[in-house]
Amino acid sequence: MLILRRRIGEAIVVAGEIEIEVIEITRTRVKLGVRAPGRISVARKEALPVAHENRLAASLISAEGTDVVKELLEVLYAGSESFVSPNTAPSPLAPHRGENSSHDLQTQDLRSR
Amino acid sequence: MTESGETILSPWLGEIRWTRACELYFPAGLPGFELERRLIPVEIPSQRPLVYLQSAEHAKVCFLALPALTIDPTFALDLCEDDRAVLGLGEAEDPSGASPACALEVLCLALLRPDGPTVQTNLGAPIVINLRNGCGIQALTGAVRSVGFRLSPSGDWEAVC
Repeated sequence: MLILRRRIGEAIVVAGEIEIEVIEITRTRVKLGVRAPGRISVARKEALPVAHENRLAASLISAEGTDVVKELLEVLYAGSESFVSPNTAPSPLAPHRGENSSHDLQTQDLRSR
Repeated sequence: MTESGETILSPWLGEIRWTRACELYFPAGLPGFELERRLIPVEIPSQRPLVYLQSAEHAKVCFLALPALTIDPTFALDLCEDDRAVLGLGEAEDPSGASPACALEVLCLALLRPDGPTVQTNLGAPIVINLRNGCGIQALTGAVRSVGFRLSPSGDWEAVC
């Protein structure tokens, strides 16, 4: 491991295109600023397992389609004592690929809540 | 884009129409999806409280989520200073970051991922949305107790190590 000592305002450069600057130093933490090309992903190390979980999460619907939602709802409502009850009975998603199903959907304006 | 908003044709949800007011903005995207900065929360009344987080850019990118409190009623959010700044939230009154006032301003969602025949989620990495400005992040170690939960066949959520 390469170890370097840096002060506030000083930086290191990686591969000639990634600049990491020390912004602030407190008793227990260091604030770093990173300048890198957009194609380079910069993340906290602890985000790596979460990235893997997120890729799996994105595959939940893409791999299983809407059937997984139907099955999920059946299980969720089986143990629904502590669950928020819907106004209507749960049902599988009606729309199929390519159909205009916008009447079934509600985009949420969360700010109006 | 038209005056009435934008549309995207989701393979799973069909055509979705929305306006910018409904859109969520994640300045850093999500881990693993750093370029997915615009997500549309979609709710189907018969499927409440399930929430779809549909990418505004890529029709095939869609997450399924539940409010964190429906999974663990004792869930408490713990945001670090940097995350609060990104969300545009004020400083926490409680030094731990788990400000009661915060609960009034944010919505915490847990992404569901497949786990064999069921689903699992990580409440240690909740999606946190500032309801006032539509800004969102995925908070890392964002729960006071970071645990995973798996949906059991009986419909209960079981903590997993």
